Amino acid sequence: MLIRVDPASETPLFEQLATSIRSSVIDRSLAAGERLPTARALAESLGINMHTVLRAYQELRDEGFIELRRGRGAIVSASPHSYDSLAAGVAAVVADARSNNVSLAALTALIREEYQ
Amino acid sequence: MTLPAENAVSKRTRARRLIIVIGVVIPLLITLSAAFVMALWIPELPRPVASHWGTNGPDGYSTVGGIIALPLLITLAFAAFTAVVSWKGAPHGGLLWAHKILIAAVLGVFAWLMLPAAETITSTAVAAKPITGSDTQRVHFSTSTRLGPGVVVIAVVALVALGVALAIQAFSNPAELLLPASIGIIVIALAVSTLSWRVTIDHRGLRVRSALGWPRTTIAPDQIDSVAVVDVNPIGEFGGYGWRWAPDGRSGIVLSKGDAILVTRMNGKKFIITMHDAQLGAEALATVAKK
Repeated sequence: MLIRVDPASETPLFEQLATSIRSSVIDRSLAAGERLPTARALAESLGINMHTVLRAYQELRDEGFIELRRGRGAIVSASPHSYDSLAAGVAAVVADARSNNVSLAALTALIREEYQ
Repeated sequence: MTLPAENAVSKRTRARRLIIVIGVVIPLLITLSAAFVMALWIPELPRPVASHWGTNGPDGYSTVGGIIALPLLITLAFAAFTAVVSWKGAPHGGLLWAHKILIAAVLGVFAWLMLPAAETITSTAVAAKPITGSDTQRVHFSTSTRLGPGVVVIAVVALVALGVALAIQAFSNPAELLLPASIGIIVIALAVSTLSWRVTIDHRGLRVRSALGWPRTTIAPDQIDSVAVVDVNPIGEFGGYGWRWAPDGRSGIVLSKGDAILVTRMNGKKFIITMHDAQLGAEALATVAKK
C-alpha cells in the first residue's frame, strides 16, 4: 500500500489519505483481510496528526472499504465485488469527457446527478 | 512370454544402457566435479580437516587428500556395484535390481529437475525512479511479505520431524535432552520468525520487522545509495529461504521467487527483500532516499 499526502495541497489531509488507501484497495495492492498500520503508527510515519488518520479511517469504514475493530485495528474488508469493469467504464467516460472538453467539475456533477 | 526373443534382448540392452548412464556415468561426473572443486580449495583448507562432528564439536579428522578421495572411492564402489548388477544376465534377478535402481534414479532425476539450471542466475537490477510530486509530498509504503505455501509445508514437515525426534529422545534418554531440546527450540523459533515480515517505508527509511518483532532491521535514507527491483531465484541465488547471505555479497530476506527490492547502501553493501509489490515499494524508497 502506497500513501502519498502533501500538506501544501488544498485538499484536506484526511481526504488525501482516504483517497490513497481507497485506491490501494481498488487496485488490490491492499488485499482483503490485510491489516492497516495503527493510526498512531501511520501518523508518526507521515508526520501528521493521529486524529487526521482516524478521520480518514472512519470515512473508509463508512464507505465499507475497511473494518475498525477494537483492539485489532483497521482491516481491509472482504469485498465481493471487483472494481475492474467499473474502472474500465470510468476510463471510457473520462476519455469521452476529455475529448469533448468537459471539465472534471462538470463530469462529477453529471455522475452525482445520475447516482442519486 | 509372447515377446519375440530378439525384442526382449534389445529391451534389456536399452535398460542396461540407461542404468549405466544414471547409475555409473552421472554419479561419477558429479563426484569428480565435486572433487575438482575441493581440489581448488586445497590452499584454503586447514590441516587436518574436520571430517566428523559430535555433540562436543569435531571428533574426526582427516587429511585433505583423504577427504577428497573418500567420496570418490564410495561413488566408485557404488558405480561398480551398479555396473555388475546391470550385467547380471539373469532375466529375473537382474530385472528386479534394475527396477530398484530405476526407482532410485527417478527420484534422483526429480531432485535434479527441482534444482535450477546454473544459467538462470542472471537477474538484472532495474533502477527505481522516485515518485513524481511536489517537494512537500510525504510518502508511506507498507506491506507484509511471507513465505510461499509450498515452502511452509516443507518447513512444517521438517519441524514435525524435529519434534518427533525430540520426543523420542525425551523417552529414550531424558538425561541428555537439554542440548538437543535447546537447539530444537532455537531452530523452531528461527523458522517461525521467518514466516511473515512487515515492511515499512517512510521518511525514516526502510524498516523490516519479523511478525514476532525480532529479527528487525532499518536502513536510514542517508545510508541509501540506490534502489532497484530485481528478479530473485531463492534456491539458485541464495540456497534457500529466510534471512540469507548470497556468495555475491547480497544479504536480506528471501521468501519467494520473483520480484524483490534491492537496496545498495553508501558503503556498497546490498540488502534485498522479496515482496509482491516490489515495484511500488522501490519507487517509494527511491523517493525518500532522494530527499
